[in-house]
Amino acid sequence: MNNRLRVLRAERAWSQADLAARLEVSRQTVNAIETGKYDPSLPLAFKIAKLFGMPIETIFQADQA
Amino acid sequence: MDEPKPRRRLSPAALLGLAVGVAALGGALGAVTGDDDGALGGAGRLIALAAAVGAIWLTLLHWRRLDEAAREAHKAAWYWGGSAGLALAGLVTGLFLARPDMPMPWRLAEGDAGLVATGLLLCALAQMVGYLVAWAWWWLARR
Repeated sequence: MNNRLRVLRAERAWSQADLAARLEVSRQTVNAIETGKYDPSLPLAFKIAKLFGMPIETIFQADQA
Repeated sequence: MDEPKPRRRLSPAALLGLAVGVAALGGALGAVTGDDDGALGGAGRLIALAAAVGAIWLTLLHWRRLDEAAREAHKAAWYWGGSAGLALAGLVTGLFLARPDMPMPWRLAEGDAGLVATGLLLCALAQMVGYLVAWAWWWLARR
């Protein structure tokens, strides 16, 4: 799964720690999601989408087959 | 009007450290007073039991404060690392079965019960080592 989390975070000048605090997860979790090495659960994906005020599919995209 | 101060919450790592500390203290107290059949031994066992319950409660608090990735790391580590550790313990068991004359360098206590207890402890240790390795691996692979 690909995502635009790093770009969206950078646009707001948030650090990983800032985003982690807003999402109530650890900085390591934010890093793992940003690098595409961990796919968040559906509830966390919704939380991310709500935080950025965007639909989920504009933040997360499935890998191209 | 003054704003309410945010409550300071212990981090998951601090809670886990506290749980390990309480369990270790309880275990040490139980080991020291365990041979006493009098009031000292009874009190020691009671405090050790309370420490065990307290450690479980702290561990549950720790788990509830973990985020989903941290929980996933623990679950994967328990499954893969714990299974690998148990497999290793199984190999050692097979080795001892094949060579029953092999000397035991160390045991928890004398007699058959001591041997069984030693085997159980070593299985748990092998699982714990496997778990820790797999947990570290999970996070290192996601840095």
